[in-house]
Amino acid sequence: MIKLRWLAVAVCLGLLIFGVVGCGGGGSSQNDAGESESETVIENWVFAADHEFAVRPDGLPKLEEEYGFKFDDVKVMDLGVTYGALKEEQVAVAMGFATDGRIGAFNLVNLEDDKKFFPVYNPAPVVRKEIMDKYPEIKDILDPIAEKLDTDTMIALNGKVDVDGMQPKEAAEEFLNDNGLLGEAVEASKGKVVVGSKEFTEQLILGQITILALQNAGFEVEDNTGLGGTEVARSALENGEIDMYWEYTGTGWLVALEHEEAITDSDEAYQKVKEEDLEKNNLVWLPYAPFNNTYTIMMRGVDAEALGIKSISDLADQINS
Amino acid sequence: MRPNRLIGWYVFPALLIGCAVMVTVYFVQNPGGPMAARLLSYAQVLTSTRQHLILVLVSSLLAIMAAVPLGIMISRPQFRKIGIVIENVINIAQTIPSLAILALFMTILGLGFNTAIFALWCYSLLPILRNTFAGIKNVPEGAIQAAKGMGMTPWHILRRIELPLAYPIVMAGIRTAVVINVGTATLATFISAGGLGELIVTGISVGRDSLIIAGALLSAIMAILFDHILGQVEAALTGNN
Repeated sequence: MIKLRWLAVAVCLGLLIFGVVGCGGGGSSQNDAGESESETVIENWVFAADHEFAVRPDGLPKLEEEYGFKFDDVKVMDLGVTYGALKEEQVAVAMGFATDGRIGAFNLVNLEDDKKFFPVYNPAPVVRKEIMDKYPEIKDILDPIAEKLDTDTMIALNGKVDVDGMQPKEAAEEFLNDNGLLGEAVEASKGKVVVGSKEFTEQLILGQITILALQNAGFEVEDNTGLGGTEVARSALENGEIDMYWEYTGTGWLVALEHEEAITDSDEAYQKVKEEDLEKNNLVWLPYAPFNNTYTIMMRGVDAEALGIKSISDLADQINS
Repeated sequence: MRPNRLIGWYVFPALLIGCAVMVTVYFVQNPGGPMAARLLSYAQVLTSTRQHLILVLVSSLLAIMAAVPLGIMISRPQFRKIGIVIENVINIAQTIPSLAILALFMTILGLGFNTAIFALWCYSLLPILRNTFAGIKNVPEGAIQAAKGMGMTPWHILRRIELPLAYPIVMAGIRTAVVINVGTATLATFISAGGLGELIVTGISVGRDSLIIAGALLSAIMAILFDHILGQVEAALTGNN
């Protein structure tokens, strides 16, 4: 009887020690990463990726093959938390989306994809041909706006909404005013246009920018932004429920036009998607903006600067050295 | 007694572990495509299982260490009022989705192991605390009166009368908490704490059923194993009280 009691105590103690060892093990590995990075000599090249990117054949395995390097370790987590993991120095390199507002807010930098590995997702206003024929001046209104939207600008705009809590409309207004894109307001009513967007920060901002610019030019604009995902916005456009929204070249090519192979060159993607969509669906792709909302490989700004890393090739060299 | 004990302590757990090994071997041999094969290697499955085991063990032990004494404390008459407050606070904490707790404490405790342990700990508290409290409350008043009549001190009454009688209910709470924990620990992978959830979530995001089934089967087997072992511990200890 007494023996069994001791057995129970022993089992409990054993479990406890196991637990403490487990705790210690888990804790120390994090400390290692933290210490090595504080002096910007990164010994452990730990990479934060989401579940999909870590195993997809066109994800991490292909990236490592293409650039010829290998991360020491990969930590798998939800895509939304990779930015925080990188900021908190739990990893040395992380993946994310190139225009996320947290990149600016957390002082992270995008590494240039110099071997054009990732598919391109440049946004461009997509307008129904009927509307373009009726109001050709829309092109002149939106072209100079698209030109100004580079990756850093879009990161800052997304940051204003996602991190600083600004309304998309306020951020849009600020952007247009700062860049002097509004000009003289026109009073005359030119006609009615319906502007749509998908439902995430970047799209809402692009939608508001478009609405403000068109209103300023004298159009009567109906705000139909925040339309859920690609499928919803796209079918609304095809059915004429909205007249225009900003779509990404990569999404247009892969989702709307149902191609299997992604394109990794901005101009090529734009030209192809523009021709095919006009021919098949009577949709006009206006000139695209320079920012590219694709997968990105990020580092902390201080580390990248200290180690002189600007592109993924630089990163590969650094890891291999 | 003896053959029963042999089966309970050794044969059944061995069978379960055998099942887990068979599941692992089967899926490593038939991963269903190269994408799933990247995760379905012996090393990776072993790592995930070990991480999962440690998450469940550490968080459950910490929860038992916190909730059982707390449950005993709030069952004392002098702590009745605080007891109600504590129970309600834990009740409310239980209504917050586990994923939300993970996300909330990620900003404070950082990513990974510690946050996952904390979230799992939060989730195990309520069943253990409530069962400890209920178990002690349900001890017949007559038994306590009789003990008092025999001249037992409150400490003796707790140790000799209340705890032994409440014991099966406390153990039931612990078993519930641990089994729930095995399931909830699959969410730890969202904040890079690994575990069998890594197989399941990857399976969902790339559409590979083999990954989902392997992860789910292994965590189910782990839950049954924990429940069974705790049942054995319970039987062994009550038999001797």
